[in-house]
Amino acid sequence: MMALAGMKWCAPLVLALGMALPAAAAPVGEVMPTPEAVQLLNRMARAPQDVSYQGVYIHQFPDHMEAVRVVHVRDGSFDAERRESLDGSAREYLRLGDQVSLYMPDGAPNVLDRHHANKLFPRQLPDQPEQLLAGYQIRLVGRERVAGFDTDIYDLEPKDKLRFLHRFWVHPDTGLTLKAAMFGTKRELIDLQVFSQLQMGAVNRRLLKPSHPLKPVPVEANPVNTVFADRQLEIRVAPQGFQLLRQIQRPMPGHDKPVTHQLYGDGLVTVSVFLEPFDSKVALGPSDQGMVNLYTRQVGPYLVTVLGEVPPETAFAFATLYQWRAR
Amino acid sequence: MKEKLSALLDSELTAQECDAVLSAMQADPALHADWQQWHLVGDVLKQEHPILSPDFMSRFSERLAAEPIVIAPVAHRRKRDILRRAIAPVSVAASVAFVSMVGWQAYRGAAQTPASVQTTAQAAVNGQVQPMVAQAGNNPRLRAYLAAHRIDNGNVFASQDVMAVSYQEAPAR
Repeated sequence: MMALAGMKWCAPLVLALGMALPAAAAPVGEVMPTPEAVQLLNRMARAPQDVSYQGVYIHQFPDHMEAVRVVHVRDGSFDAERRESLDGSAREYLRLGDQVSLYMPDGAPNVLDRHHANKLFPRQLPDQPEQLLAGYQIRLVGRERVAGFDTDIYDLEPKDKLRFLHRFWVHPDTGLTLKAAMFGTKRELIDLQVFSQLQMGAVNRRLLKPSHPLKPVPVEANPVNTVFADRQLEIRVAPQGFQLLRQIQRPMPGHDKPVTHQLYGDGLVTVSVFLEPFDSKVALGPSDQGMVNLYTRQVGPYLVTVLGEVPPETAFAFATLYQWRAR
Repeated sequence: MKEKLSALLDSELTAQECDAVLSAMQADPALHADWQQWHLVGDVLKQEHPILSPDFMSRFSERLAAEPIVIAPVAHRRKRDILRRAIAPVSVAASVAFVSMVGWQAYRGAAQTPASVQTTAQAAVNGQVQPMVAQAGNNPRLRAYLAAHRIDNGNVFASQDVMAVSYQEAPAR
């Protein structure tokens, strides 16, 4: 209640401040030069780590939406974050430094990957955000109010046909992302995360107290072997901007042996590739499921299945990275 | 008239022709029944969505009434002129009316379908007809892959429902 009252009182003040401050350096509508872009990306990546905030954000998918309460406290070296789902099943996430604990009635994952364990909104940018400039260019496209704050709107435009348009609404004073959206090839909304209520600045640590019995989840930090055992399967270099992040052996329903799962990422989206023995019963070619595009292909004795929140061209491009070398 | 109806189904008619066929359909119940059954056959063949249940319309109305405000990004909103403002409510009403009509037709169609239509269409699906882009939703193998992909995305809050569904099909791990 206190927080709400404070919020009400603060918002007009911050709003007025925001308007009085000079606008960002880059003019609206032009592609941002690289040095400025790097500076902006680093600021956007640092802000959610450095700023203490608490609020509620909405995550909108094409078919449903969820509200999540989030609290982040940064005080010197103390860095903690708590999230709680407000819609649907009760889920909770607590991060103290690098240690993540979860409460998930449906069963929590056994292990989280270091690359992704702390990449939840508004902290979805990678720690080395310059890598994004390999696949995207940045443009300031306008200004808009979000959760009572004035924001600058930046588009991360794909440089090729292999990715989607991402848009970020950034609070100019702190660099915190207040709203983030991904659009499909027809500019349709694929994914949206937006604060509906937000308070930045000092946050009471008591708000970090979990409301469910949490279970610690180990976060994998060791670099995973990314070499596929069968050298006859040639794996070409991923498209510009994408990197092979990890490779794991994953037990799968309907398979006696684990399936090899390779995960690629370009800093904003990930592409999964599954490698398994060829099965003639499986339908080959493109398919889709909501915002995810898939491509299945036979490569020598293997079945390669690619999927991700990427255009169909990308799924196909990744499928063709895999080539069989006849002896 | 049936050719006209077929053309309407394929969106090949001009606006005036559309109006003509629609009013003809209103006057002729047989034509209307054809229209519903062709749609039903199309639905079964394309498998783009499940066949609508007979109580679709009542449930649709309930859910429309309970619909929360959708939060969507407003891209570069320009100043709207007065005309567009005036038209907006009308077009919303028109959309609702259109959806209602489609829903009602589907309801009528589903309620009146002779079983033979469905069996024939289903047989066609089982035969050579292959959709160009398959839907992964009803494929347990791809669903498991989707779930694995989402876990590795690290977004523990997203798509729990999808993950839960996928794991229900999985045998004990």
